[in-house]
Amino acid sequence: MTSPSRPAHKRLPRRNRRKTSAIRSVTVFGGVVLLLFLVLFPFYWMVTASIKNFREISIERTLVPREVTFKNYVDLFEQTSILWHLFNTAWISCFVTFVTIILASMSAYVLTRFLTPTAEWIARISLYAYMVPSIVLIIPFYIGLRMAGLVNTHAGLILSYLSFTLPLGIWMMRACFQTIPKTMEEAAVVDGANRFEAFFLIAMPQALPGVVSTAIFVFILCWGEYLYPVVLINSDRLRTITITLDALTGGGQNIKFGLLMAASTVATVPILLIFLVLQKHLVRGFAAGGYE
Amino acid sequence: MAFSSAKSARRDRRAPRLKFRDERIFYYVALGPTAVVIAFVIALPIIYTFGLGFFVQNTLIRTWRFVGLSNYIDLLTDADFWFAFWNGIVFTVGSTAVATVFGLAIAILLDCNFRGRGPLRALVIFPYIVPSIVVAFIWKFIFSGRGILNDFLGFIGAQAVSVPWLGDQRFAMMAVVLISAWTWFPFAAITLLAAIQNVPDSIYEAAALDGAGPAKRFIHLTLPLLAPALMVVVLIRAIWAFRNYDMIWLLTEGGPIGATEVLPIMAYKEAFGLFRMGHASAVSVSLMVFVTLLAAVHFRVGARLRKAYDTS
Repeated sequence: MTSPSRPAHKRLPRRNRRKTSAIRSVTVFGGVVLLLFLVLFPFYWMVTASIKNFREISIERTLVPREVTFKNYVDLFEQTSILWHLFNTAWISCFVTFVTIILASMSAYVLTRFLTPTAEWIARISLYAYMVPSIVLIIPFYIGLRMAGLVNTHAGLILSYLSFTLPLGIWMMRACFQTIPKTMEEAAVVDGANRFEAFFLIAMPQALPGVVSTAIFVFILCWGEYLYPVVLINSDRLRTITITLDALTGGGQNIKFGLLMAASTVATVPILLIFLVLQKHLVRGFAAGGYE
Repeated sequence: MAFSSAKSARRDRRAPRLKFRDERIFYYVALGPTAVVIAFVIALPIIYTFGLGFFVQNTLIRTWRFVGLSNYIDLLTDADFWFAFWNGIVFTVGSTAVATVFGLAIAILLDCNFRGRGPLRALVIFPYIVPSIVVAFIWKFIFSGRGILNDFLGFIGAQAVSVPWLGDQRFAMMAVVLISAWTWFPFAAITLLAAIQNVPDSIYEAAALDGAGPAKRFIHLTLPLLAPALMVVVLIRAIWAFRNYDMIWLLTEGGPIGATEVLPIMAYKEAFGLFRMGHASAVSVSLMVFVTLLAAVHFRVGARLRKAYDTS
């Protein structure tokens, strides 16, 4: 797992090198093993619990399932309309991501290119809005959407999602446009292109990696959102996946962990797919969104 | 960032770059929809909550009564409010500290050279992107009275343990802090890793040549050079921890006996358990005041640090 070769800049005087490098490799190896265990074990435990029978989950608590059963999954698909909820979550998340990307990339572009007082205020508000507790917004959303007849609709839910995706989108896209030099656009404008052309044909193609990272983060946030759907949606047909999971606990003390872990696994699979396919963009998005 | 752009904007204000008509059209087309959406889903709701804090309003019996500051006076004299506030501080400090220290260790580990480093760097992100409800359920399962953690502790200590960690008043907060730190450490790890990689290698080389050991290099070089990034990580994490609602709610619902009740949970229970919207608004406004203070510190410190370290 580890290799004793280390970067040139950390090389020590020759005498100590062999001893310290041995200690070092062992430490690094131990650290890696510990980290892998800490990150992976909870997921291992989730997946294995979902294919164990009740005895093995609650009484024997076997580390490796002795008998594989898919009863939990069968129960899950029979007792809940989880496929329908997955579909709801997917389309809402995709739609919100789409709207967020369009609004955020245009406004973030303006915020980096036209430094007017209004633009400045929008930048500040969106930066601040990202930190506003969602609990502050949920009460007016609930009351306002009820007045507008949008409680218990996907439209209302989508509106409420924009309250956190849009600030994040503007934030990340702004960081992205700041790294793109203005000179090419300015040259194009001088050559007779208008701003629309400069934005769509010159700036956006360069911003594409940033768009992908932003879209992934927005989608992931929407996928796992809990507070808004739990308050704003009450009919089973309109539920999102987080509420499916929430409803399975039933509020009682006797939680059926097998069923719950099966549902958790199902809810994690799309995120896992995104992670496997797009991890490069994820790591980069992390740097862009987090470092500000 | 907000502040640095504010400065350059002030410089440019005298010569706005909107000379041409199509520039102006673009400006309004691009910024208009966002401004409208932000006004409706962020600005108006915040103002509404502020206003609602001065009323007694019950959605069930549909009453509106202006009561001035009495909601706030109720709160400030309510021991439960201060207890929830204190819990929020414990949770924030605890989870931020654990996530940052652990994240720093992981960042240093991931900076070392070993095979499989690339995939591991990506893998570390995973706990952060999994839905919080899934994280909460997995750990609820692991930490339950008859869960694997107790088996493990029993195995080490050679005697049976059956503490329901999340259901025990003494341990619930600690368990919630650790679980939150588990899902938040990737943020610290990846951000700090980027900062470590920005440190020029020549500095370490020089220190090593001068005979500084690894521990010395860590304390006298790595830490001071990482200070700005650490500061940013701690502040952002603290803001998010203090406003966090779903993780604690899903793990304990604020219990047992209020042991993990924080301000967002208090506001939620007031609003959607008791339907006392005015009271709930007062709680969330006070929450927002604290978060705003933290955010102001974050902006200030961020701007100052950027100025101080903006040499590259």
